[in-house]
Amino acid sequence: MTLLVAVADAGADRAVVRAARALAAAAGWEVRGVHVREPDVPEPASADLGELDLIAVDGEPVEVLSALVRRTTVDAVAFGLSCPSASSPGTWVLGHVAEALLDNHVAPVLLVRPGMRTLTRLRRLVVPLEGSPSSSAAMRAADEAFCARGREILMLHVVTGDVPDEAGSLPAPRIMDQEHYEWPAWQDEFTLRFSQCPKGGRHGIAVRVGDPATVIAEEADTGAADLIVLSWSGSFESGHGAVIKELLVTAPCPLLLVPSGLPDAASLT
Amino acid sequence: MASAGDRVEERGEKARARELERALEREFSVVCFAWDGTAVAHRGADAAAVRSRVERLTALGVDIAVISSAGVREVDHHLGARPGVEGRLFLFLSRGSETYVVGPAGPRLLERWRATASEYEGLDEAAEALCRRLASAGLQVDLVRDRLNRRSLDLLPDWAGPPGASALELRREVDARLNAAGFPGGLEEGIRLARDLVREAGVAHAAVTSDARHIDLGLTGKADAMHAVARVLVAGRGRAPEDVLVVGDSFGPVADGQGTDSAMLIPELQRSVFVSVGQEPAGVPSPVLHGGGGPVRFLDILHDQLAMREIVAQTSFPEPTDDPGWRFEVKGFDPFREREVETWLTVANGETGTRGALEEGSAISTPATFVAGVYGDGTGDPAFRQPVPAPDWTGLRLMADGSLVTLANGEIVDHERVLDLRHGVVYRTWRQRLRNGRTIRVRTARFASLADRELMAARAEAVPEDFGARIVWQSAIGVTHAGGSIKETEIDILEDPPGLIARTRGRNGGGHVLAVTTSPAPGSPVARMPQQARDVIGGRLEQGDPATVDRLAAIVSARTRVPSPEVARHALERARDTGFDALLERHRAAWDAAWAAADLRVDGDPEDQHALRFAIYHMISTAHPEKDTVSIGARGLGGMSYFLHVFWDTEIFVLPFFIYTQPETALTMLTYRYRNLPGAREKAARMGFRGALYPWESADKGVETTPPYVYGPDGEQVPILSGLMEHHISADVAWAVWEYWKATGDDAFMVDKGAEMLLETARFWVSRAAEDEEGRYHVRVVVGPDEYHEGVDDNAYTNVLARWNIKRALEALAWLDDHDRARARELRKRLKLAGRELARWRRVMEGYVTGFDPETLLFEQFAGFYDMADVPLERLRPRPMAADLLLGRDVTLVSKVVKQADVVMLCHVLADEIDEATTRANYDYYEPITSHGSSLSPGIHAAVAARLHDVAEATSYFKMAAAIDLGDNMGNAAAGLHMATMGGLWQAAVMGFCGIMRRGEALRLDPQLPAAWSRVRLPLRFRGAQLHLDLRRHGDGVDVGITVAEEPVTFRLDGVDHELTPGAHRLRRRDGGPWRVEAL
Repeated sequence: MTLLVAVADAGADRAVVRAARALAAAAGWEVRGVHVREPDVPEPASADLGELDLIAVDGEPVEVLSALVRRTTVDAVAFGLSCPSASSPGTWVLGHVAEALLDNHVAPVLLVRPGMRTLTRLRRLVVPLEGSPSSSAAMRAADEAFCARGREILMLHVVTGDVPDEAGSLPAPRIMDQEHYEWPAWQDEFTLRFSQCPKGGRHGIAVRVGDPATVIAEEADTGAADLIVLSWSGSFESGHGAVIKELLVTAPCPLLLVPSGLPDAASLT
Repeated sequence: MASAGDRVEERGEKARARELERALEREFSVVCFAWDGTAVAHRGADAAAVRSRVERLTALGVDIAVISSAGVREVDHHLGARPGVEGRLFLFLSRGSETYVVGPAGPRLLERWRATASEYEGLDEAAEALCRRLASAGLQVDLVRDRLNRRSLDLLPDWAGPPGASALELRREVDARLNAAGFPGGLEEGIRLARDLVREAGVAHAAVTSDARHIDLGLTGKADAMHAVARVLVAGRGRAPEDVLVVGDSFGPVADGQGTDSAMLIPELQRSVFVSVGQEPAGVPSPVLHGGGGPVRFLDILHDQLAMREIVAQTSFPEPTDDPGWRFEVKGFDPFREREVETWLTVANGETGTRGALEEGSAISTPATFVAGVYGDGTGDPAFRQPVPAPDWTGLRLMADGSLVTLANGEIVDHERVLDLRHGVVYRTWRQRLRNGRTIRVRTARFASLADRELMAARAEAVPEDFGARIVWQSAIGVTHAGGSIKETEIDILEDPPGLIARTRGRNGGGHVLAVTTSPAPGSPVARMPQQARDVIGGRLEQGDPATVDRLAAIVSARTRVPSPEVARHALERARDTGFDALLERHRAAWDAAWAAADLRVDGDPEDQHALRFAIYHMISTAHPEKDTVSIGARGLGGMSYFLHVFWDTEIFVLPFFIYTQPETALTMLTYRYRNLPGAREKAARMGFRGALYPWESADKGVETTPPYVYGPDGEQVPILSGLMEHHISADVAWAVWEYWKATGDDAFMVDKGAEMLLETARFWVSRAAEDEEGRYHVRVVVGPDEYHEGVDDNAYTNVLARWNIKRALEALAWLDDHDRARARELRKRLKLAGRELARWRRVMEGYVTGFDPETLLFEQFAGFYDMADVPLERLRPRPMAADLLLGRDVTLVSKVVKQADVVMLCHVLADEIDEATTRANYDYYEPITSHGSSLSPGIHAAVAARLHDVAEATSYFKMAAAIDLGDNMGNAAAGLHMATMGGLWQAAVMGFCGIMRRGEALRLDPQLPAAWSRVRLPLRFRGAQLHLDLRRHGDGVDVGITVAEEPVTFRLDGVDHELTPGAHRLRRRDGGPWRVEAL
């Protein structure tokens, strides 16, 4: 079980490696580094990456990383966010390699932007959930890898008025006959649908109203979250993708993006 | 070319085969067979197939008798059968000297006969003398002494022939050896010699027999074994000889001697069927039928006996209807929706409700059984009355060769559940490919009996499709995943019927006793396996065999104590004696009767039809027609949400369905409110008012059960105001009393109960009103149906209904004065209703503020509503929406945003008095600003929109209402259904689309069918008349066929009353023109 750090840029990579080490320690994974040497691309400046077990491979990064993930027991790949151009200094983008890994459902991706709160020990996670089954992959991944006694996982549901069409979705109640009964019932059901982890982590549910990216960033900030875990649905243009695009800029702590998808029904029984 | 003789022989063969076939084509209750040569070819042969068939036949109640000259060690070790219960498999061994009965733990000796010492000496003397005579002729034989009551000489001690050689082959070999040794008579000569020797030895009663290889000198024989069979299994169990099938392999003569099995032909069993599967070269004696084929044929005979019985199990498994209009199907398995599915598939009967959880359970299943009307104190903060749920009676775990069969074990091949709405049965079919690659098929059917309301039943079947295995059903009483008030639950073993019994006690409240028994279903080759903690039924099955069990459960309950377990046991005993199939028949008949009174058939829109039948099914199954200590909780009997508390939902939304289809049930529901009048008086008094203020939430005692506060997300205590301020429920109950009376003409109810309820609620409204300086009366600080606005003054719904309540109470009293003066006097005296007080009532009634503006025709929803802030309509879309959540409570509290039908609701419930123009004006004003953040809203909007001829909008609201419980992405049915929505759907269909509403003591008819509806058929009850209406779209018009029975009925058409006498009538309207009425 391994977390693979894709080393590309020394400036960002020190923070990435630190975050990766903290995440791997929480999940019981090993950390390894890989640097993909592309033809005609200048080598990055060398950086002190501690005692990272680093290998260098020649080739096209997406192909190399995908092959590595498939061949070995890699659970996640870590990237440093890159700022594409000086003309848009506030814009942080995912990068085509990370995006391709997510789109191809290769592996979850840990993203660390310079200036994010340093992840040294995983204590508090925020998992935004829109209430649809396919987007609950983030919650399953968070529970499977990180749920443990002493750790807090906040399931954050942001109400926007948009209702997922997907069958089996459970957004915040659209009808609320008697509030004192509806909310506890909704919370029970939300927990049953999206998290039944028995490993002893403390799960909480928060329902907030507003712009999802703003609310998520605020909640992570005020709650001193160490990590935000989100489902990646494959597009930056709408839904989760638009939220993620904004969080790349505003998130106060590292992001773990998990390819969305429905679990095998039997596995949840 | 065949000769004539050959043809005669051939015909004879065919005739014999037909005779054998006919003889075997019935079920025998005793199958008796010889072991060696018949069941197995030889001692080393594989007996697994015999073992399997024997175990399954015993499980099906067939007695098996194995006859052998060998001892128990040999036969039991070889057969190895372990029936689930002792008392079906018997071993008659050692030539009839011993009888064993075999149970799950192995064989147990029943009888053994031993020779005396002198008899043994005689047998030894004769056997040794025979050995010496043969030895002197040079023939070596083995003398076997360790046989019970006999001695045996093996004439072929060095035999090297094949195992399982036929008697004929052995006989030839023996004869050859004896001939060579100077015994020309061969075996016969040896037997004669042995007979002489036993006589000489003084044991003349010993029998000398031979199986061709041995000469046995014995004091018992097969005949003794058969006598034991006749005594123990035939006479001893009250059977006739015809019930017995005897199978052997050697009845006919072998060379010069009789076949050994001929000894089985004893006089007591002469009417039994005897079959030989041996070669029988010399034919068989009468009445033996020759089948031949050896042990293979014998296995076929056992198989046929099994198949005849198993066909009963396979064909008697109940099936759901094929009619899609009655099937509520849930295909596949979606873990995210499973709790909703469980709620949808609830089987209930007004007494109990059982969620449709998977029988085998899962990590995400929430099985629960709720018992209506049984409450205790909750333990949370705040504590309030909560139901005392019953333990789960449905749990059945399935094991295949020790491996648990679950959805998680391997791969789901098929999974479907069907709620047969017509008959209230939930069916499940499931095929699972297990991790070992084998496929098992499972079917279950369960119901809560509508005919015997204390009973619930389930049948479960498992069929290994492509393998043989030990299939076991384990049943247990499990934990109900529901919370609620449970002080303690005790579970004990139930001896008779065998099963389990659980006593559950609530805190400071009621309790119940659940008794459960599981048994093999008729025709299934499984048997009960005694265990300490569980009912366990199972057996070794072959591919395609059904392991089917019936699970019966009885629940008896009491509101203030735990009933005697004996009552539950007796109920279960009755259920057991009736049996699953007969219980199901009774249940189906009860549902047939219920649907005959209530079915609403819609042609043209299957989805709408489904939604209506789903609603009607759950309303019928949640109501109790006789028990007036219970009423319908807001979320029915399928979930713990709302704690089975009774709200205004019952009277305003659900009760009309019962008033117009099953008035007896409506009467029971109103009687629940009458019983709880003391609680309503107590609440009014506690708040400083007079009369009766019904609790906003009601449980068993009729007192206010609404929790006073709740804790918010940040731990702050948030007061719940509905119990303090939502007073319109008293007028709602009064409205229900009046509606029932007017729609049924049940004067006895009005005399005995209704008038008192009207008077006491009216008295409350008089005391509740505060007079202002201008002599107007106000109801201040209330919450109306629109709960976004709390603590408002003069809510129109509340005030108009309150005024109406006072008016109707005075009318009822006047009617009582005329109709039953004694009762009127008694009521006036008991309620201390003086003339002065009644005069004040009239004054207050006249002065009640209603917020109505005759110019605009609008009711102001409450004082100051018009002054509130407007909210852009686009912020209230899409609907339904919880506007208080999305906009913020601080916004909705001061804005013109309405949670649910409020003034529109008023126009609906008082449609008899509020004209169409006023309704139109208010609908147009309030509809756009209503968020429908309540499940109570869309159905009523559909009804009102249809009444206003806005059919498209009405249809849209109807579908919105239907989606509340059934929509893919609502998710709010997980812990219970929305009973008010269901009642609203029915009202939308009948009062809205069909346009049938009470007007005085007549029915107004103004159909406005949705575009997709081509025809609607429904039964109705009205003032003693039984009606069947058949509405058909006819171009732009409509034809209505009405069959009237019992009493005449008045229809109001375009404002004109038409009395329809019993018989058939046709009403026609074309292009919005006048109605034409024809008697047929």
